[in-house]
Amino acid sequence: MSRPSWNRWVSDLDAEINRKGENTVILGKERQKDWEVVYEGATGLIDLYQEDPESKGMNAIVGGFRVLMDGMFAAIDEGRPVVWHNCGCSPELIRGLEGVQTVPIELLTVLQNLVGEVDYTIALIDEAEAHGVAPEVCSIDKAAVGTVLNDLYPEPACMLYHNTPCDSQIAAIKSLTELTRKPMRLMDVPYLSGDREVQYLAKQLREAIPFLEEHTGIKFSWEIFREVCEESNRTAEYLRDWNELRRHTPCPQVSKLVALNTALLVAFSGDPEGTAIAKAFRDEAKERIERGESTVEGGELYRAIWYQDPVWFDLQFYDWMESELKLVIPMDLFGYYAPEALIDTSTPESMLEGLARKDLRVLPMSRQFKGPIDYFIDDYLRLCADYQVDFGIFAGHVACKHGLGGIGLFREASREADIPLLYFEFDMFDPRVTPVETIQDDITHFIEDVVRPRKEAA
Amino acid sequence: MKDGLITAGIDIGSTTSKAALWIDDHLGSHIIGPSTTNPRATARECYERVLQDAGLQDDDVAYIVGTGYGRAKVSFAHENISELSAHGRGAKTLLPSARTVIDIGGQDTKVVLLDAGGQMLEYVMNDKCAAGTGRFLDFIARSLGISVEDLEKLHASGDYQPVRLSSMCSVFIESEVINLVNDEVPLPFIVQGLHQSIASRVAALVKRVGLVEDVVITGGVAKNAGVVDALQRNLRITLKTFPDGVDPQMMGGIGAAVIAGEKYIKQNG
Repeated sequence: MSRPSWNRWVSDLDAEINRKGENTVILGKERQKDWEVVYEGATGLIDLYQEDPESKGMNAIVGGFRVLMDGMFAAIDEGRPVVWHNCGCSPELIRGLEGVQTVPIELLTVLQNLVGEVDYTIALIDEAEAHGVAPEVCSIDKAAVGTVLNDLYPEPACMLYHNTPCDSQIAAIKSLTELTRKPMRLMDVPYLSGDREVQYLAKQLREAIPFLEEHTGIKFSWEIFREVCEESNRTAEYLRDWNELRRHTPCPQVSKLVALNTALLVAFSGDPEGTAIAKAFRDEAKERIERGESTVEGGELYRAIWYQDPVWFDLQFYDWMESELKLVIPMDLFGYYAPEALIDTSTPESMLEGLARKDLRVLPMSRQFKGPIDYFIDDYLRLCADYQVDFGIFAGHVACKHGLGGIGLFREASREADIPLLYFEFDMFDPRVTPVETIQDDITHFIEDVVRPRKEAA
Repeated sequence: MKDGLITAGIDIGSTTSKAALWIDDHLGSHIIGPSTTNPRATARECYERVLQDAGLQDDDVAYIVGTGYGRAKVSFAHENISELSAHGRGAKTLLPSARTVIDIGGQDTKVVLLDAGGQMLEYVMNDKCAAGTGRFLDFIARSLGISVEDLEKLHASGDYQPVRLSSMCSVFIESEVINLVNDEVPLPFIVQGLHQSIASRVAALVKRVGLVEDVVITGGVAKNAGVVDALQRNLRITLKTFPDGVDPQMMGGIGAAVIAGEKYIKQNG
């Protein structure tokens, strides 16, 4: 069965929303047009992918996000406390307080881009800049500030953040604290990731518990936290298997799934919905391998590791790579799930240490964008070898100084490993910096000039 | 039909157009002419002239590859390739030890890094800015009231004391040069400064892909000894030259002709 057209669906959805007009209103001040659009979008995507038995993974993650939105709206209706967190902060600890709703500050932007409504993100970015946020701050962080300026998130009881993966996050966190005047606790994530650093972060996680209890009015439960960590481990095991399965040649699944993995971890770690999504990723890959199916119609010609940041503003871009270039991305920095993810649930201390270890060594970006550049480069070279790729793509998200700062060393390591490397700069949530057509040209020319001749010569 | 495999490369650049014949394993006749507003006709004319020089007919040529900015207009070519591939292959064929190829053309600058086997590993291009290209030298020479050929003579005509040009943009550099002339700064020092300005831009590109020797320079600007001198000083290396005095400006056309031979053999055994 051929995949339904996303483009066609997006235009149908726009027409549908216009037809419904004010009848589509979802009650509540936080449920303004922005939420209506992403909710309708998610619903439309679920309808779209449900028609396609090959889209188990996409269907699961979009469905998961709709459940998350439902949970968020229900929390408002039921008066349950809401805690905001950032993408460097895995939400398991917050889930140890029964009934507390977690909201990642990047949520709305991710959803807008997932459903193809990037114009809404652009408006939020512009609003943040107009408010005084520096243009060089990461677009997702600017959009988060724009979201809060528009009161688009439910009011938090408090906020729990990690000062990772980057300076932009810290800038956004400061802005959000200033705008909301809500209690905020910031974990100091150290530069290195050894056992000493794990202990250091675990101690801060323990200290965050009374802070969360005080501001949510809910008692932290070690038993619930254990269940949450066990759920997180189940998700981790599926993702570990999924990472292995995607090594298969030909790659069994669409490239864009790897880009979505970080969203899965940030929004759903410790949530049964996260395990269901990870299982769907794993099952889809397994079943397609068993049936001998390639995600590229007509067979894949090229494989590449995509490093740094995905083209979030146009996820159809990945479909284009597969159909036009026969190029598949079996793994990227956002999809890679490091093996240290399992949390030892035997004691409270072991759980806190396990969560700290996950925050330090596993969460994409947090793992690579701190500490010596060697972490960043070594992961890349390992992925290139494990996934047997023809070349690497360093997609330099302009705000990401952590990656771009090491580009010289990165290039040098690629040359020494004899791995051709395409480098370009863009903004992952703002198509105005580098249009998708320019990125398409860059990749097409690189394949024509470098990759194809090398393959032919080999 | 003549003996041996004869192929052709047609390189339609922004400023000049080139055609070359490759006969088995050596360079045949080749020409350089100006590009025109009719690249289709220019390509045909260049091709017919090399055939005429070599005493060949169209039927004698087994395969034709077009390259350069106007490659899509080489309507009689069997296929076309990018100038990156053409310059890389041309340089590697004539100088097998070449690992880094710097091409300074009329409209852009490219640096190609080849692996030990001669395959392209990486490249960088400056195609957004006129500073550091042949066109830049053309219009600065005009501003100074000299010919572009005089630049290298002036470069070598005195002590090496290049002025430091601070502007990053070719338009502002022109203003800066006019000010220097009015300040009676000796012309050789200004010209050395211009060459140094180009060299520093090109060197920055080279460092991005990583300098691996041997390094060669191709394109029309490669014939300006002043730029070559400045680049050698900047990179602190000696640039290699092609054997038998082969014109570095021909490298795109030669590379295209070599690739045409490989394509023909691959397709016909």
